[in-house]
Amino acid sequence: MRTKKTKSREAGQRIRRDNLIAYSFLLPSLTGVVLFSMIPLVISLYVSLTDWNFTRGVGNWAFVGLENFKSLWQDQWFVASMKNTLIFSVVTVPVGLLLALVLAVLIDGYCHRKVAGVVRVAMYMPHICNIVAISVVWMALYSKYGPFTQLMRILGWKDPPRFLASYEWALPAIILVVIWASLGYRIFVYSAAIAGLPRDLYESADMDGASGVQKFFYITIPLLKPTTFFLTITGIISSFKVFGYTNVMTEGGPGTSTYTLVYYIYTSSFKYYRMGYGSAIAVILFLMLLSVTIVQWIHNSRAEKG
Amino acid sequence: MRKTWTILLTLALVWGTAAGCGQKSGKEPSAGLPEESQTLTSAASQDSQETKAADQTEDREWFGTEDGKTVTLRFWGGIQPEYGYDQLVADFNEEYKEKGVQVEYIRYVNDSAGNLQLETYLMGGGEVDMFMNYGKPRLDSRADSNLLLDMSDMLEERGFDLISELGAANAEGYVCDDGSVYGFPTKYENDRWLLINTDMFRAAGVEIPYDGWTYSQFLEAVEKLTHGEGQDKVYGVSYTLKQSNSGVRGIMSSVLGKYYIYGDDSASKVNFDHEVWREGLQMVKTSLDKGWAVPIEDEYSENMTVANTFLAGKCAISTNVSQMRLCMDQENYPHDFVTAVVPAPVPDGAEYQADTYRKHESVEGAGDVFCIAANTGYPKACFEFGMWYVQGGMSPLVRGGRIPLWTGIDRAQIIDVLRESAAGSIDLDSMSNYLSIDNTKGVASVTGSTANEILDVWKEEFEAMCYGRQSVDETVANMVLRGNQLAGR
Repeated sequence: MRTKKTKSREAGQRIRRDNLIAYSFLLPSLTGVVLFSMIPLVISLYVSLTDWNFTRGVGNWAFVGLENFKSLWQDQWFVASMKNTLIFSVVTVPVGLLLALVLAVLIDGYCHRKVAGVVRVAMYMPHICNIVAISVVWMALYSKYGPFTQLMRILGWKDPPRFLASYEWALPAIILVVIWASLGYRIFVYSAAIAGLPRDLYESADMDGASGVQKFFYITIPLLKPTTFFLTITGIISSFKVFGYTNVMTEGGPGTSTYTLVYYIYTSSFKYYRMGYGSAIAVILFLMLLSVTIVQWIHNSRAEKG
Repeated sequence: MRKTWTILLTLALVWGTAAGCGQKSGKEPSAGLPEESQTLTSAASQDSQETKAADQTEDREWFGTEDGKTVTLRFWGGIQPEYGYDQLVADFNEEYKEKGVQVEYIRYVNDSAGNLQLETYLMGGGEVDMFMNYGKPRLDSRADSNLLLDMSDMLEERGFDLISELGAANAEGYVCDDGSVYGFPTKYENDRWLLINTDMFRAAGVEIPYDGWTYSQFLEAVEKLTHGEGQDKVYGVSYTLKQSNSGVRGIMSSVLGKYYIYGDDSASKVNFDHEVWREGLQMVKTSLDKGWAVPIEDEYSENMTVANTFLAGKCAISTNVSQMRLCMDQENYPHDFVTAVVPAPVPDGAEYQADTYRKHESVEGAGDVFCIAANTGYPKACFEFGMWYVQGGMSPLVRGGRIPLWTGIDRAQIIDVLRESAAGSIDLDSMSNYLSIDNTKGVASVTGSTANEILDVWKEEFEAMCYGRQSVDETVANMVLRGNQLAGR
């Protein structure tokens, strides 16, 4: 006859065994995360406190303390890239979300089911296309006699600028491309969320004589709040990381008008060989992303509680 | 029983993953590893290889491995192979096929991404044995990072005196204070010249400036050369800024020479407030403001190059003389005019004599620096190739516009080669003029660790001026302020 103590010991062993099994399943991916994410992260935090040219090899770094972080704020390139990144984020996220929401509602409400599927897939295509390919196509569209510029002429703009070669228009031109490229993904997420909304609320609203606009503002938008929040957070994070479009289309120019933080990390680290300085900018970016993520965590935990 | 299976399965997965990783990083042969790809067995039989191995101590013309195998060296360069490098490599491989060494040419793009790729391979080892370095700042940075082999001992042993073989002024900049040599130039540097469309010059009644010209003469010429409207407009000049701004900088640096970036030998301050910079920038700005030069917005938005501007007949002058090889290439870039190579203009003041600066007595005269990777397994073979290359082996590159720097080269033969290959495309009088320069009188410009950043500052402020966002005085002031901040870092 087994005693209570024996049963308890067996239960403990079973838990430990289960844990061991679980950890062994996790081990391959955990190894990858530690080797390729956590350790480089810690190293880059240290590198940000040094003056290091990576071509001199690991270990040949001079410790400079917080010097890199201090000099960032006097650096025109950094200030410009921070400003552009924030503008980029502030514009692409709300505009992109609003457009996606409106289009998702229109597709859901006014398109035949089969047509809606085709439209969603068509709009999703840019999201899975290569950034370089998208950039090159848009460079052609934006050229002096390209289709986009010609369209502007047809719409009454007598002398449209060379969009990607203009101090004033280069950043908005890239923002437009990014919004367009991410629109399909956002529409997909919104469409999935709209499909899950309770239909009885709309039927009740219909019986009360609510218009389409009223239903949109008083039912659809409030019920899509969690989805909007999710898309906002992921949108902010991805907008902070923008690099490919600026690198291919403008190389940060003209002047510093399309410099972004990640582009400047790249140039300072791999063009000027200032790995310590580039890492310092990366740390700043990391802190920005971390703060956004913390907001998401707090929101999620509150939502779970109730 | 099920749990036992689960544990076994898990262990198998973990072991399999670990084994897979281990194999990839350790034992799995890779195409890039020198052991496999660089050591190619010669066509000769094993017996013959053994004979070679036995003889190699006596035969100093053997550059392969000690056990008689031929080595293949990886030589990286920034020029497309069809502009002479494929022929050059074929010549070398034919000449050295019995001497245990062969060369494979690998093209890299000479931009920041391409140079990053090269440096990553130089650090890792195995992929690069030797390469062409473009620009002194990059050479200094690579030498400083121990990526390059010091060739001074091999040069001394060979009896190849850089000073007498390449010209004192050209070589001095490549010999460090302690006597080490991490690279030597091979090509006459030609960035201080311009490409002109002789047909357009004649049609506009503008004299071809074989012997040099001044900034005001340049402006008069581009005004006369500009005609047409809209899409048919032909501009006097294209600065091809999207492709490279070194051409437009070259106009001013042809006069400023050694001090075109920095104002002193210690590289502690920039020289952008020199009157030559100011006058040169004013000349460029005037040509843009008056509509005589391709607008900078068009240069950038239309991705304008020598091929789609100068060779397409959309401008009469191009500042990007490094693309001269395209002017000789009727097959890929068909055009019906003759290109002349003329000196860059100089300021109008009496102290700047066009004839003096045409002779380039005070500017850099050397480029295409041959370097050997510090971690190559075959330094002796690489050096042999470098010596062969600089002492005439690079002749096939003449057709691509690369003129050998070596003083032993016969300039008349170069003209003969050009006459044969590019007579209908290139004005041979201008070419003779170009080659008549005593290229041993060049000097290397002062460089510093922040030179690349300073040149980027120059580019940004220059662009702002070209866009009309600031005056020449403001441009110079900003260049000096920001440049000195970087120089003093």
